Amino acid sequence: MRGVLQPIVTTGQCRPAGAALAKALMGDGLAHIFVLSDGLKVNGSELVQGLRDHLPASVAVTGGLAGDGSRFARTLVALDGQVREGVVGALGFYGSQFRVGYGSLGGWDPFGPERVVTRSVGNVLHELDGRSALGLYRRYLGEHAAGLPATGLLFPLSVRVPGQDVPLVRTLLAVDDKEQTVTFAGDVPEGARARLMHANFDRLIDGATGAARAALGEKSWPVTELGLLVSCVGRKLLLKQRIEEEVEGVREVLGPAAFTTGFYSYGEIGPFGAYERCELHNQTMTVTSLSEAP
Amino acid sequence: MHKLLERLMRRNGVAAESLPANVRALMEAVSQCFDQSDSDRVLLERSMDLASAELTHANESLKSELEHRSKAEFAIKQTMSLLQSTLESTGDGILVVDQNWRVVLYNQRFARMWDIPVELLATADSRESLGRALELVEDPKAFRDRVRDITSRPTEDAVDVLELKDGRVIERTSIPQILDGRPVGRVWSFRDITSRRNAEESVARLSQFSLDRAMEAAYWLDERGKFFYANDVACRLLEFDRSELLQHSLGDVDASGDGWTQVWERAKRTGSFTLETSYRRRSGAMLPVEASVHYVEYRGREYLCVFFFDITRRKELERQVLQAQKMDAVGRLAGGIAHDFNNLLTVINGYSDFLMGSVGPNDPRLGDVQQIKNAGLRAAGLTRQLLAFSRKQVMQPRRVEIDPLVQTFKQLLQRLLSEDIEFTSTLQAGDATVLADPGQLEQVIMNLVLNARDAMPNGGRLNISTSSAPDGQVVIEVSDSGCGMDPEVQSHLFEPFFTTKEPGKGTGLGLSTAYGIIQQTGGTIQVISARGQGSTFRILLPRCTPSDEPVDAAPASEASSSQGTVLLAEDEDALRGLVRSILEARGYRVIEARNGAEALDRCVRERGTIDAVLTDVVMPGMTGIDFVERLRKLKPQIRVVYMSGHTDHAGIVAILQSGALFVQKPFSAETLTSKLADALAAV
Repeated sequence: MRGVLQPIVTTGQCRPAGAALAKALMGDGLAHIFVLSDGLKVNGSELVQGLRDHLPASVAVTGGLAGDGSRFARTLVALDGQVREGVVGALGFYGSQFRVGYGSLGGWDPFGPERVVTRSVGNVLHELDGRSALGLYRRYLGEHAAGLPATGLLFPLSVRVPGQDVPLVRTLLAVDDKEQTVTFAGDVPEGARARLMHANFDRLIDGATGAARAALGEKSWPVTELGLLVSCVGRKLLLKQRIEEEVEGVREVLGPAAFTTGFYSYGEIGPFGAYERCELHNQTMTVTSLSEAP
Repeated sequence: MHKLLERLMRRNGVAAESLPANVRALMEAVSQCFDQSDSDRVLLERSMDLASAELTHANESLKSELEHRSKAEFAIKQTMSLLQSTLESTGDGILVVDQNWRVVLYNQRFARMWDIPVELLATADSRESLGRALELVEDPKAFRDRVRDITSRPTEDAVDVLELKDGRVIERTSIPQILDGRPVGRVWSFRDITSRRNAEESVARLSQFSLDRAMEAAYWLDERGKFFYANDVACRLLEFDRSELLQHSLGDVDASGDGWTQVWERAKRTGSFTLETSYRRRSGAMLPVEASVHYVEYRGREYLCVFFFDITRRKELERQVLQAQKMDAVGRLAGGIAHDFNNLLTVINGYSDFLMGSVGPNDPRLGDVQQIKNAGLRAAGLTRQLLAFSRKQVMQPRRVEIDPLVQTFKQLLQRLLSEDIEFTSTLQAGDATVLADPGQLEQVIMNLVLNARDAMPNGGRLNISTSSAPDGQVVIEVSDSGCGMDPEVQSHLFEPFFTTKEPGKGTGLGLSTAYGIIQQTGGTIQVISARGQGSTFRILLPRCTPSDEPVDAAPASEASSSQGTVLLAEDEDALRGLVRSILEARGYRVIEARNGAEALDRCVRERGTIDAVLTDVVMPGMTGIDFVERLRKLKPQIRVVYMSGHTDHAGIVAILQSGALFVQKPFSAETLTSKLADALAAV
């Protein structure tokens, strides 16, 4: 296993940073990369794109962007005793006996009609179906709209990019009443199809266990020795004390032999399934299971 | 706790307080699930309502959009139908193609005109249709090049004319189709102008023919002044063949000295102008012309169109009119002088007579007085000739037969000529008569004969001939073989005191007298002469008709009387004094008056004692004629003798025509007393 750190000053450096990390970790027997990134200064989508561009298809990337609860003030990354802001850390796992499984699921319910993103700049959404995105949010959320942007965590956006079957989930970060825009924790490209989503506690918990099941990998694999759990801050804020059910559900699936650890994030990284591309997710439980064959 | 759970527990008789703690916690969890479920339901219902409203709205929008589209489609169909009908209704063949030469629209006339099957046009690729057209045109290469040229400039219009192998002429117009400021295709229209072209050619040919054969000369010049065209008359007048003339420029022909640039600039500035100028014929002879010059711009080039006509004859007539006017002016001057001289000469001659009467025959002063008298008579002769020239001589015209007059007069003339002059006559006027004063006519012939004699100092031939001109006029010609005259001399020939003879040899009044007499007689006199080739003077006189016979003057009485009282009205004091002396010397009593008014007054006062009136005609205030007219109202039988130096005064003409007694100044004492005696005798 090897760890590297890459500093990031502007969001424009995210893709090159991803590329730099991939190049730094590339080497014989590289089996997996786990990313631990700053949560506020990094465009996760770009970072993932940079990594993906410079890694072979056999090497998957999982991980997440550090979170700061509902404060959104400061996030830190620690590696080899260094604790810093504005850096991206990555761990490379090597060896032919190394086994890794991963799963990422949200468990959010979409509602309302599917709409087309007609105007957006990066992660700032201006218009859906030619109408103000913020206006649409306020109308559909009704009384819940009064608490925006804090309550926005409860209402993420499902974004289906043309050419991809599985939609991504984007957390609402901020609103701008003057510009009538909504900012998300990830890109919302023009031409994508979007739907409002809302939380259902049971389904969120089911989602987490689903992710864990996906992370178990093949039956022939040895039992999971370590489970890395990255869960969205939004889920925690929503589930409150029931958040324990999420962790309990994952632990039941991974089995009594597995050690589990993890953090509440501002963005999760991982493929939806074993053969999918890795993406930046919001509002999911992303589980990475590690083990070593005898 | 959730109301539904509370109700269920109540119905089942379960009190929350009675439940164990773990069951109560479970119930709390279930209650939260109920609340969450309610919240989800509210959100979903709200979402469904909104989505439903949005769908309804979207549906309405769609319906409205559909309606709008349906209307738009109908409008498009209508426009297309209108467009197609319009296309079909025109007389032109029309083809519309897009930028890639795909057929967008066409009409049937286009298909027929170019013999292109409709199925071919329906394939939308117009290149095959173009191929068909190439087979029909006279010059396929030019056609193709032109199409390429037109399409290489996608925003420009183009018009040209195509000639087809079958004789048709097609006018092709190409206009770009512009959409939102960009060319998207082209509209090609084709008009069969075969008949128009034929008509134009006919008009052009006929116009050319009429211009070629026009009576007025015409030619065209190009912008360098070169002959571009000339019609038949222009060629004839300038004495060139057409092809020969077209090798020349205006400068080779125009003798005016104006440069080509000057003519060109003037025509360009004014559009057109007329001028008199001279052209040099091929032979070098000058041709005076009046030309109208017109500036024309045609198909980007500039020309001058010039019409001209020969004004040789007009120039000659103008010269003659000028000459006549000059002669008339000189005549008036001479006449005026002669009149004043007449008054003076009457006095001079009259008093000379008195002096001669009072000087004895042996008085040495008699010779001196005789010299005065002779000079006076010569001067009177000169003034008479001047009056003759100025046509103010008193004429006594009568019917005169020309041939006998010349025949008789010839004898006298023969004596004036020396032997080295061969004098012949050819009298062929027959019995033609003219109305003229025979004495004056003889004077004219004599003057011409003397002139001819003087032109032949070394002898020669002189002929007098008479004849009848085709227009009925009577012709008298005097020809000599003398030295002849150049045009300069001819132009002054009839002016008084103009002479080519040495000083003292001629008065310069001979020909001017002849001119005056002939003019006064109503005829004309011409001269045909050239230096060294002799001269011919030709007199043309109007033939006389019976009604031309003048009223005979009252016959003069032979009887005379020297008694009676005479009223003398004359404004010239000297003359009045002379006449008074003459009359009183003959025994008349004379009452004087200085003008008409005074004369009338004296007559009234001397009522009954006046036997005759002797009055000047032209006097200040009341004229002699007015005076006599008034007097006759008082005394109708009064006898009157008029005196005057004027002969052209309107009153005198009337007096002469009425047969009244008249004595012309200057007169001698005998003439005056004789007339007065006639008057007194005619009772």
